[in-house]
Amino acid sequence: MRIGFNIMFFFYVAMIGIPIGLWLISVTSQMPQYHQIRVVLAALVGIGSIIYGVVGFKEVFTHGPGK
Amino acid sequence: MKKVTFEQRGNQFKITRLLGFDLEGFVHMLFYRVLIFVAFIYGAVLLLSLSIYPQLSGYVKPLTLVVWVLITPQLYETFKGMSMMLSGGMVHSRLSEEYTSMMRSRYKKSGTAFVLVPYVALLLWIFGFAYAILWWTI
Repeated sequence: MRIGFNIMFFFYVAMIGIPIGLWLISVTSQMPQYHQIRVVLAALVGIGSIIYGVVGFKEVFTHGPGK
Repeated sequence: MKKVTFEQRGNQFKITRLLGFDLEGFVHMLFYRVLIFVAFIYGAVLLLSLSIYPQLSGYVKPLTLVVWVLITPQLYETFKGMSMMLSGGMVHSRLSEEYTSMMRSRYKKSGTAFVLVPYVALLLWIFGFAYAILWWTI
């Protein structure tokens, strides 16, 4: 069975990944040894947020994902 | 004859169309629509502050807190959907009580613990928010 990846897959990953990423950054804020991990997480959250915003805009305001 | 569909709830531009019967859905929809724009700006500010414009880092924490609040209904609904899925529709669904009772006795599945999933997620989320207000840093 071939699993196809499209933009909606990344949208759903962002939907659950952004809160988890933000939460992990928040609770490890006082741990300097995890600074590099927080930077990576923040970059992923940033990319995910942009995908979330763009796909969400298409889905809500132009009535259709991937169209 | 061409089939014509009629959306009785009204066009999506009518923001209050869910308000009369689905307050939870209305709140989720409202926060989501605002979050769409804020998330895009937040992502751009975050990536720029980590790379070529570190002077933007002062805006990251306030924007993070705004996104944190806006994403709360989405988080709740996501974990509610998960608990619904994991319990086979026994909890947080709108199936009739008689049907869910019969399903529980047939499949020997109560799903009681799954009721707590979205509320535990919400509690952890609020804890993280309080932590972020006090100590957020990358």
